[in-house]
Amino acid sequence: MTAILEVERLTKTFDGLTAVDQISFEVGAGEICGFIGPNGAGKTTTMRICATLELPDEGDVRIGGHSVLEEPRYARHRTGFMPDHFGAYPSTTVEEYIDFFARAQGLRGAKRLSAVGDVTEFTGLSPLLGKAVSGLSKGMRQRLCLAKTLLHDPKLLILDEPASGLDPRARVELRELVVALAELGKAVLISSHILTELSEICTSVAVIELGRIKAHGNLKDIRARLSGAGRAFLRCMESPEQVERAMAELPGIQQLVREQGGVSFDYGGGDEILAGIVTRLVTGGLRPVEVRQESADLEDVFLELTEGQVQ
Amino acid sequence: MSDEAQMSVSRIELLSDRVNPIVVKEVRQALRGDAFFKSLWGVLMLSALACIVALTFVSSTNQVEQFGVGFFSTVYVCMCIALMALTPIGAFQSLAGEWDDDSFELLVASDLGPGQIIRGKLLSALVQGGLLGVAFLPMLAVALSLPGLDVLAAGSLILMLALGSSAATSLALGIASVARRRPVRILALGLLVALTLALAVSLIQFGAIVIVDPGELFDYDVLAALATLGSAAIFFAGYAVLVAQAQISHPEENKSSALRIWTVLAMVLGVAICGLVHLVGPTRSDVLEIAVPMVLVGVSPALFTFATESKRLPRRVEYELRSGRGGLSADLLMPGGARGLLLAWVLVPMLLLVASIFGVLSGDLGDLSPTFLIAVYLLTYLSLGSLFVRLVGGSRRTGKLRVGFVLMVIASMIIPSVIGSTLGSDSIASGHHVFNPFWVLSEYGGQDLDLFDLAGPLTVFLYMGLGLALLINLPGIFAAIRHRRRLRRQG
Repeated sequence: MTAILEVERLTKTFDGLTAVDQISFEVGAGEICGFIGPNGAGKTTTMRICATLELPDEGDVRIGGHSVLEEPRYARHRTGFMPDHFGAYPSTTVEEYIDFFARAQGLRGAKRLSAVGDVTEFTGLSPLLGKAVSGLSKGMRQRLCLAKTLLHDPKLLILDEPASGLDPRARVELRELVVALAELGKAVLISSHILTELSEICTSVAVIELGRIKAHGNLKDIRARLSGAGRAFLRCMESPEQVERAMAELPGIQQLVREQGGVSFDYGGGDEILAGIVTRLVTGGLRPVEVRQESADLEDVFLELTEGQVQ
Repeated sequence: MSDEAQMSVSRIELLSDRVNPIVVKEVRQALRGDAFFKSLWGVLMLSALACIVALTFVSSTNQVEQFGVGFFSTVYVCMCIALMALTPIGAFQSLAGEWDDDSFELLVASDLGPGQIIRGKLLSALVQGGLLGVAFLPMLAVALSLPGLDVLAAGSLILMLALGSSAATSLALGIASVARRRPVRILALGLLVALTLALAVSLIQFGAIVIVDPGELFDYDVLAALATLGSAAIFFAGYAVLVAQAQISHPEENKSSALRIWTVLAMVLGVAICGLVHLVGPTRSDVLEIAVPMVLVGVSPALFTFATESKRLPRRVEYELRSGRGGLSADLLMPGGARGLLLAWVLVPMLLLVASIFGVLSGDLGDLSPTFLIAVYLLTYLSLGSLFVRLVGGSRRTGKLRVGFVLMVIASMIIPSVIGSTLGSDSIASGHHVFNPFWVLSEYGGQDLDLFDLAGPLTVFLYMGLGLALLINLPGIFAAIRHRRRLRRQG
């Protein structure tokens, strides 16, 4: 996968406090990377550096191979940044607000009108074009900011706490929008405190604490690295009790739990080991009807990796 | 909407693409919001009321031939208040509002450069000011139709008002750009209100003289003062805009070259005005009296700012130099304290060279020695500032060091006074010593200063200070020039 965002040994200090400490990670095209960490871990600082709003003391960020320090305008062209809080201009309608940012992104004439039409339709703001921005609900304001962020068709989206303060329906809708954007080939770096939501949409995560990256990569791989185990669910024609008894005799099986008419279990290793387990069970006379690798729980990973330290 | 109407809308849309996006947004906001119309109606109602009162007063004195003067004066006062106070304060609020409303970062993260943002803010404030001005047109037309008004004097005053309003608006943006924290912003707004009202009062007072006696406009002294003030207004307005741009630009972008170019241009403009004044006829000393204070008051703070810049070239500038896109050919215009000092050392003697040429042309060289001493004096101060930064701090503390240097200059004025007081010298105790630039300047302006006779040992001290600063800064200057050459070769 082509890396759109490359963070290289980034360091930033504020009055002697190291907010970001030598962090490196990458986000590829079509990837949704969840950027998670406790409050004050350095998430927003990192995102602001990526969006050219902050200057690192050391290291660099490359967007599409171009440094945000050396070519900030190039980076801005290719990045859509949605901050955790933002202001809306008074005495401005939704249409005027989006039209202004379209002009600010250098879109002219028919291109501008078409971009405004596209993003308002994509974000569901079309019926609200004439409404004053000051009269929008929190969810609609988030949509408005997302619409503004998408105007110039950026390759990289940096979304800082986009779901904060949204009601459940608005969260679901925002999640769907983010997934749709990744499907369009955009790289998405998203931070949120709502880990269950992130785990449903993220293809990778970067866990940060005290300014340092604790883990980065596919959630399943991180879990495997942490416990050295994968987790799977197995359902057979036989009763769960029979399956549990048969599996208990096999080596390398841990945490056997009966659930949903089958059993969930941890196994030490990768796909080869799981295939070996299934083969032995079949040889032993069991008839599997469903074998499923379970995705790792983001909350568990987060709690295991972080110690809740703040600075 | 009819086809014709739709076509005209799309033509307007296309036309608006050529305008700065901020102007489009702010004018839309102004026309939609209450504040602009309230200001407009308020000012118009006030001026209409004032005109009625003025006309009633003039008719009661039976001076019918002065109807035009009375009416115009009243309209002019209202215009001064509207354009000198409301427009700059509106521009200040517009930029400050970006921080208050948390919308500034959305602007910066867009494709708009700092220049576009500040120019957009300036233009939109001027457009709104222009709309306020247009609203006064009917009343101005009435004034012109009444007897007693000199059209040239009235036109000149309105032109000056437009220039003053533009300069004050630029200054307001410069002040707003450095006042990001709310308490600072409140203080800055207070300062701006006081400043704009003072400027408005000055224009009103000047207008009262000119409108009654239009011949004043053609007085040599008034013309020279207007030329100097006008060029100073243009210089400070341009400088304020560039400072505002530098304040909101990316930390790695070049914040120095544009300001340096502007400083050089201002100096050339100052010299040109001196030349003009010289050609018109007065003596050479008048020219120097204008030139030296202009350097000291106008250009030296700019040069001091450059001399205390960080030495390290920003990475963005390094990249542009390597890739050959910088277009920054002259070392003196590049960012960096050593280069800034070099710029000062080149510009100040150049100005004095021009002053000498005026002296040679007029055959009067008698007062040139103090002039050169003033140059040494100025360069020593600039060099000491740079020296102070080099000795005390790193690049990140430059802002604090600048404040520190200002405090050091203040201390250099106060400490000798305290010593003079202790030693029983009333003259030194009251600030009459060469370390006090304000005294030196006023004495020089008054032609009472003979520094050679006054302070031989102190002159030696100044030369020694300059020599020491030169010696310590020379390696830095050569290193900075070598660094730039190396980057060019890498590209």
